[in-house]
Amino acid sequence: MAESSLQILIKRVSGWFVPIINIERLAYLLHRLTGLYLAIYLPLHIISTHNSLNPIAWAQEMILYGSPLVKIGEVILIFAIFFHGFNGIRLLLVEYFNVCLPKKMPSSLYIEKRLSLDNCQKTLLYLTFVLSIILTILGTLYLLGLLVLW
Amino acid sequence: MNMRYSSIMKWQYWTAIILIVVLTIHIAFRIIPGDYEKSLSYENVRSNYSNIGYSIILLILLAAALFHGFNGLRVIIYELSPRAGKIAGPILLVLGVIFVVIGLLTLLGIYIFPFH
Amino acid sequence: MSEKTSGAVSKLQLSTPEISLKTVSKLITLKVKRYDPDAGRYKLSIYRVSVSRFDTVLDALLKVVRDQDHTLSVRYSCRMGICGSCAMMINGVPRLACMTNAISLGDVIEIEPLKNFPPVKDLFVDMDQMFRKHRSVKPWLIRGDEEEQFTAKKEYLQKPEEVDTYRLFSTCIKCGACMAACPTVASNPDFLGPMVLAQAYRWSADSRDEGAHIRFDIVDNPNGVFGCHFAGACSAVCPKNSDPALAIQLLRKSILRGKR
Repeated sequence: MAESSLQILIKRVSGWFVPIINIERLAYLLHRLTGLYLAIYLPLHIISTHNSLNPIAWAQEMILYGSPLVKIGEVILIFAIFFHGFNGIRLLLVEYFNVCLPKKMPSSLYIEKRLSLDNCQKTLLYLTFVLSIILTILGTLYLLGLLVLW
Repeated sequence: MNMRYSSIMKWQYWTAIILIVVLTIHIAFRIIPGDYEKSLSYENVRSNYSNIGYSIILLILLAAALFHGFNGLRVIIYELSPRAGKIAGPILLVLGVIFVVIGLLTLLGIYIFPFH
Repeated sequence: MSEKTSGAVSKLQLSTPEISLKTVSKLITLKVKRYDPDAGRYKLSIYRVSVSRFDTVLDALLKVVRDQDHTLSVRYSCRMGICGSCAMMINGVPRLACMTNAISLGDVIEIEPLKNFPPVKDLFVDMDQMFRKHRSVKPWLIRGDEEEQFTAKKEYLQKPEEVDTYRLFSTCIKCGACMAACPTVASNPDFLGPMVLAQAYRWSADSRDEGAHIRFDIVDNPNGVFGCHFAGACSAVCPKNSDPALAIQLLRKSILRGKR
């Protein structure tokens, strides 16, 4: 039975979401979703900052940005930036700078930990989540004016 | 294409590194005034742009972010459909250039319309 | 379940009901999603089967075949986790049926054919494409001295440290569980897949091999090593703990640095 293109597309995209077997896979999914969010946000931001050339348009824009929907979008944006950034740093460190990759493979097959999923790489992963969440909270508080810096 | 695919991926990695640096600076400029609303006031934004160093940083941010983002989009589209991915490549390139131009006009506009 | 047999998959048992040492047998329900090639779609068959504390999911399925439904088709061979034939989705996770304890999975076990492979009948799937991709990365020794390879007059010497570089990845039994777990395989059918890329690294890292640059050219594209975005699910489900994700990371390192 031939499947329509839309059905195939839905099946392929659903493959990103299930099954979430390990935390790295959750990080992969979030990295992808935050990346999409940022890639859509970026052109909108470029167009909206164009209004900085005209004070009237700017004021109108600021009123628009006061709406709750936009505020929620901004909070998601903060998480997107920090998560995508920190996870990106983690991926850079492992894939490009080869941190946490073994210089010498162990000589026994009976290793307790899988080198790609435990110890060093897991620490980086936990750091990513912890830092993202902390900075998102701080950023949201600052955005809402609840955090006084100086 | 004779160019190896790993070269495009190296660009993805390098724009990522550049973005981490310039984005930190960009966010810093929103934090330095101490108040988010104040940092978005018209006067503050205009004074930010008239700082030439910051404008150059913003230009680098513009180009790197558009490359990194649109390349990422292309990767995702290619994964879902290689045919669509091959078409998406040039389209995203053109779109990227368009947005760089828009951003450049914003940055240069400060100098063309200094007192608005 | 020890970490050594099936890694983190042992942590995935969602609820472990109390299994007293006195439990001789328990009646569990198997919900088997079977593919019907004549109708061209899946159907659900529900069986109740009695399992002992030590029975595996494969044992349970074979009991069903023997006593209840002769038409249920299951691919298996060694029953001891070395041939890789019986990989299937058990409670949503790709696992070897012969290495999965049935009673500790709870009262209901959901069994489906291996994801990301075209189904043939009931629980077994067509593995041809995976093996075709495997062959495409030339998983054999490539050397200049072809004469010696076919009319051998000496052994190829290799120190233990040289074997260490690829030993772990040579334990792969080609069961296909990693391919079922990988999100990129799910969305891109042309993606080579974790097993294939890990084997590409296994052969390139072998000190007896001289064809690393050939394999690097083959995998240096979005369907090769750069299609991997490190979801790590492959290593999480590998029944032999062969860590394909690590092999792909090492392969990527070799390609980006331009040398083996």
